[in-house]
Amino acid sequence: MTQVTVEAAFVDRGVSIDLSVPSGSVTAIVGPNGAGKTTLLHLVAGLLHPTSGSVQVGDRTLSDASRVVPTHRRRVALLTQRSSLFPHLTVLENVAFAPRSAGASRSAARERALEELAAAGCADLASRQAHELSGGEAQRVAIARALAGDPLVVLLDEPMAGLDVSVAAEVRHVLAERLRGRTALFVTHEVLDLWTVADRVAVMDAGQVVESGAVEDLLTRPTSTFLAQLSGLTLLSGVERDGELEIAPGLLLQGLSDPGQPLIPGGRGLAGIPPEAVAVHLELPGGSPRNVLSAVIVSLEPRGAVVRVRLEVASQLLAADITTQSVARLGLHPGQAVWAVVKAVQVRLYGR
Amino acid sequence: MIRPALPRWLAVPAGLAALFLAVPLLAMFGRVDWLHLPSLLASPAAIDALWLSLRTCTASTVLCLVLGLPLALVLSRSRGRWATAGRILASLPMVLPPVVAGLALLVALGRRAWLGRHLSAFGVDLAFTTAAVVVAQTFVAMPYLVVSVEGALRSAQEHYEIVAATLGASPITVLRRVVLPLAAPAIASGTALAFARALGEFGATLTFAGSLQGTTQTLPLEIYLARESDTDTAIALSVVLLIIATGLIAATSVFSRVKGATS
Repeated sequence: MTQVTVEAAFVDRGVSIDLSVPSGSVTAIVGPNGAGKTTLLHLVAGLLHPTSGSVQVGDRTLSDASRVVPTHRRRVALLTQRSSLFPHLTVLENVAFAPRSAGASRSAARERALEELAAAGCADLASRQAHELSGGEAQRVAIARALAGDPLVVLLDEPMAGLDVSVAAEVRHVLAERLRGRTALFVTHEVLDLWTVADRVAVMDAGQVVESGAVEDLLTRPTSTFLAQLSGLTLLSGVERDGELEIAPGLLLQGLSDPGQPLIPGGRGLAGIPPEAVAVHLELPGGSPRNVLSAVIVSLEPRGAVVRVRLEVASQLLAADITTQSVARLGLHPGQAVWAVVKAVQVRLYGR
Repeated sequence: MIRPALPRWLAVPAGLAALFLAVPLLAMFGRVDWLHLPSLLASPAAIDALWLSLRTCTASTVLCLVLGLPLALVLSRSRGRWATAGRILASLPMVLPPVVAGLALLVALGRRAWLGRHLSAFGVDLAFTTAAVVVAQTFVAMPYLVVSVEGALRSAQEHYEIVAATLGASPITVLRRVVLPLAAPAIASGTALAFARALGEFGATLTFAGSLQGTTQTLPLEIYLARESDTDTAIALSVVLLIIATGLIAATSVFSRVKGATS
């Protein structure tokens, strides 16, 4: 059992963490910058010592008031944005480093390293020097190196942050495959990492874990603006009335009720709305009954082929992705009064 | 990308500076009696001096490494007032007049000095022996090793050490497999610099060790003593020193280029 239990404070950084990561689960740690995510990893790695509380892996205490296990005896691997491959060693020697440090013979360590390199898809890089690798290759080798030591816990601090999108995808694929069944804490800003690599997610804010649970639950039914942003949804809150969500007196929003967490009659609820489900009209559109909301444009922000239009609806914020041509044709500008039309089938309603 | 050019007139003072450095050294090559060079260098005094310099410089360079490397390691990890004091102390002999360094050694380790007296009681008499030459050379040369190695150790290699620890490497393994190999180019160039400084040592050696042919009379001392009575030998030996020094400096620049390639 390698469950990680952190109940520790680090006063200098205003961090007070209470988190339990189940054995064999990859828990993504998300949250705004400065929330204490890296501090959490450093507490587990023994690179910081808690001012109070304790860090445990399984039933072994790594840090508490009376004892501190040094980093090299924790069997906790750390992957960061920089691969930090030792420049004076070959790729193979890099990956064999952990088995060698654990006392394995030269040939056993070499064999283990070759296995890990093959599993990370870089067997052909074994004889290269670190500076001869591309960023993605270096990061895959770093993964092999971290796992070659059979760590009880793998800590990842945005290992894909410095990579191009296509390269990050390869590394993500390797991570998803190689981390399955291991206990890991994975700090990331990327929602894709949550879906593909993690099975649980913990949200940190201002030095504390404010929410945690299965990725599926938290991302499809986000209850905080941070999680909603991460999952690409905007949230409108309101109260249930006749199976719909009343977001302002008399203003009802239709949608599909989430079977996992349905609206409670008369109770408070949320609507998760993807920005592509929202259209903007200058005139009140007629025709079939739809979600038509009176809105005012707050800002326009170009994002590639679309423009993210932020709208104020009943004192709440709603995002809409509109093609650049439509924005130009309609002459949209901040402060303009418009009609927002929301496709009911793409709105997910759930209780909170 | 083209970097904006320097003002053209800078070439004039820069050229003057280069000339100023080159002319005396080239002049010496012009004055060498190339025909008799082998016989000049084969004189007993010259051979004694060459051999003595080689032995003492090797010994003092080894001492610099054995003592200076741990000092550089400790200083590179130290912060605060004591670390600053340690750094000043470790680089002081670089700027101290060598005569003063020699006098300081004499005052501390000479026969009548308090530490020297205690050493004498154990049958160790340092002053005016070959060992004194080594002590004087080590005293003035060690800072070159400590300063260059400490700089390299302090520069960004902390993340490699952290990664090594997370991979299960004990402090001694981190030192042996990560810290020292990464600092190897700086250690090599620091060692070459220390050797070069020891080779050129004059003032501290003369003050602390005296000038006894075969015992304490190293190359620079021999050159100084021969400069009037036997100018040709003095110049021949000077050229030998100049060639060795050039080789050492060339070696350090090669080492620093190796470092540039890997970082």
